[in-house]
Amino acid sequence: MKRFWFLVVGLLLVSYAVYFHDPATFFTRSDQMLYLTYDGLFREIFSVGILSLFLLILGLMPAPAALESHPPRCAPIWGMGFLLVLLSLIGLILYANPHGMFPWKFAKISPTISTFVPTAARTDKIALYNNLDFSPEVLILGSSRALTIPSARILENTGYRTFNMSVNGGGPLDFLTFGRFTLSKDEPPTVLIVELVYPSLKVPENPMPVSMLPYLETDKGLETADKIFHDVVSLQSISDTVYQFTYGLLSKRPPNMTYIADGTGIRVELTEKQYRSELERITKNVNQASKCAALDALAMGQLESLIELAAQKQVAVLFYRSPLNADYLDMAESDHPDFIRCEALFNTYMSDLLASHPNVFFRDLTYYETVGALRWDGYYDVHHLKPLAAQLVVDALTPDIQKAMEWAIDGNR
Amino acid sequence: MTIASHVFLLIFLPLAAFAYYGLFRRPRLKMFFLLFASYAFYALADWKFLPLLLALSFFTFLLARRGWIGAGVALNLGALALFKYLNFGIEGYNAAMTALGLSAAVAKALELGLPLGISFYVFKHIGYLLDVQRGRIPATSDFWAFATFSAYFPQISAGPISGFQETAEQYASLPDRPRHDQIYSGLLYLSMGLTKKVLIADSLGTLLASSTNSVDGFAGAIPAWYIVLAYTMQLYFDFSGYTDMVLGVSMIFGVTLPPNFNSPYLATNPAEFWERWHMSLSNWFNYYLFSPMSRSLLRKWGAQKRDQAQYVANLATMSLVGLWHGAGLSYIFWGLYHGLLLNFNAWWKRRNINIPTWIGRPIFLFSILLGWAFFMSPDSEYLIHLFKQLFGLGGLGDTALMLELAQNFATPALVVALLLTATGLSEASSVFNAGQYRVWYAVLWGVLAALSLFLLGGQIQFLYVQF
Repeated sequence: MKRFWFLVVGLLLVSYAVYFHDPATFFTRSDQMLYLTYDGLFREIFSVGILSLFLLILGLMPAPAALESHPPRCAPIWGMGFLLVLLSLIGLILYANPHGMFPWKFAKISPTISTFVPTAARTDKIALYNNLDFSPEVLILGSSRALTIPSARILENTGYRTFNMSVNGGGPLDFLTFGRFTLSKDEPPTVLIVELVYPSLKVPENPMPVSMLPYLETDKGLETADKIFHDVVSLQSISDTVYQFTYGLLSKRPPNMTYIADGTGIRVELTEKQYRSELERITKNVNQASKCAALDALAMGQLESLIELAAQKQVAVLFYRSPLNADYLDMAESDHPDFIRCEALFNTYMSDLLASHPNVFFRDLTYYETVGALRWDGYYDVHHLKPLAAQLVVDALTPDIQKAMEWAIDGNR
Repeated sequence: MTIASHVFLLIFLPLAAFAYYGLFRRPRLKMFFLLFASYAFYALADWKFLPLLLALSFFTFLLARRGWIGAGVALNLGALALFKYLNFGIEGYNAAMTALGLSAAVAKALELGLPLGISFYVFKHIGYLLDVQRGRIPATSDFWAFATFSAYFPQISAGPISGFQETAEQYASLPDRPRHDQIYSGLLYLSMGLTKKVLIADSLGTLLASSTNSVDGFAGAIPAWYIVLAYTMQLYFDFSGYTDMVLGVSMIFGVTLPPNFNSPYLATNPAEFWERWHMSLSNWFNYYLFSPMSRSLLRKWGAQKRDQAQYVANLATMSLVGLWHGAGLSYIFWGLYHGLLLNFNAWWKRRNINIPTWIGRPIFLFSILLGWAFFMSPDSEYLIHLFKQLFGLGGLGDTALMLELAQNFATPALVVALLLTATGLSEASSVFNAGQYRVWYAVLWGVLAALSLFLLGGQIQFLYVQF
């Protein structure tokens, strides 16, 4: 009777998966995935599979029997089954390296995945930096807002060779870590251009790749090692490994973002409809009033560590805030009292930094109309810049880059 | 670090097991190693409170040796009260002061934090002290055995609560080399517990931690019963899964701990339920509180008031069982509710009223579900909303929400949970027998454990660790 009920529930499980997930066509749906991972769907199919195995084991449970005088040694046999599956899956994940935690690229990684997974984007940028045939005098650090800032335009305007090290989701921890990494080189950059995001300075910290462990504080290093360990033994990694192997075979969609040798990001154009939709979606996410909180102590500490490190190396740091789209400003709550209060706090903080650190420069382009008024012509959404807008930002920053360079070369040395 | 973590299962446990069997032969040295591993485990999980554990172990040992049992019990209860209940008292005091219009007199809550496993190791200490007082066991002169008993890492986070004698006796005869049957049992328990935790309890927990965790998140009788049933299964599979893992880990080191569950939802009445649910805790309360209290009341009131003595002892014990689970009124109400159920059951039995099992069991299960509705409610607003919905005051429920619930992975997990519960196959002990010594069976359990590890890593902790 028990086996009958196990069979009934087993069939229900299969029906559930077939009805809701349509597993037969699962892998052909790559083109419908917005964020380039099977994620929830894969998790459920995988879980239903394990649940079925669980039922199968209990349903086929051997009847109690008298113990043989020499029963097989089942502990090592259990261990073999366990290790076989565990090591196979971990091996596959390490080989595919779907999140770019490790510096190798054995498997053919889709560049689309690479740019959407922040850790992979960091690995890519580090690899590009290591492959440069010149030592950049200027280094751009920032978030996705700075991804399209053209290094070539800085070279054209100032004559300084530049590398764009910005990464999606980049924040103070990235600036400090990449700062330590690049300033440890024989010929470090002379000016760091740092794009700041929100007045609170706080952005979620994405896991750093293994190659950045030597540049992290001990506690952050341990935290990162723990994150990497958990990432390797995770369903998300299995899902993304499968995605990675199937994407190349099944999808014809071009990558959303690629980087050229100097680190500048080249992004796929959007239709105006997609622009409107992204504008609306991101406006909800970055409502200035809700994002604006007190300045984050940890982030401030990381920024100040970067400034001090730069000062020791006689390097100038030019902070800037990226211009906002006028379409967004029309919708946003820029007059919200919390936002005004936080802006004031942030401005005071930046004024203090300028006053206390001679190697710090700052340009606030948040409301820079020349760029903001471009709207659809200059933006992919709220704040991500198209090449034309990114060039205008470089033009606006050029006098500050010159001043920072003068300090670093003439005024200080 | 918890027992259900990658760090424990893939690093700490294998290293500890290899060191335990590879480096040491004599039981005494193995016991010292277990003590060292236990302190290392505690420090990795909650280093700030390791000195508290050390101090309480030392003073409990010392006070038992001196015969100062009252002082030992007071010390342990004092620590528990300070860390677990003081803020609850302060909140109550503040609410009273505010109600009286004396807002200026309110006190500030302390930010002490809750030491890992304090409810469990304090109860082990008190059990030991009371056993010594009653002459059941002599006060041990072996501090290291007592310290190992107190901090033993598999059970430190959430039990089961074992007695000193039954645990420490085993330290003297720890196996000098690995025993395959014992290790295999441990691995099966571990596999079963891990699978129950990640596949069933966490799947249900993910749903319950989402929108259903608020008053606005659901409406209607069908979603409300679904939620309470899902919580009922989550709690059981979470805690029994944890216990299976603990028993399994301990078996690997050659130490057998007492079981905590015996298919509790197959019970037919409240008294039987408490003989099957969290058995180590209910045995503790039964042995050290309920029985002495009943005897004392009988002596005071006389045999003619035997029923009343039992009723009072039931209510008092169960309200303390509720309070043990957490400093909150909902836990106390839940405990009192179970006290009332036990009293009703006792009254029923004394009158020899017979109800067929097919009627009695559904009624009993219905009452258990209502109890969990108390238990799961974070505040009175949620509790009132939940009860209104359960009794149909909010209609049957929105079709879209019901479809959403049906589509959620929690639903197949719930169906499997119900199947295992109904067939009595929800405990690791029920799947282990001599017939398990088949090669294919061992391989499948190993495969299942490995796959379950990849599901581990959500944010959901073991529910009972918070108690």
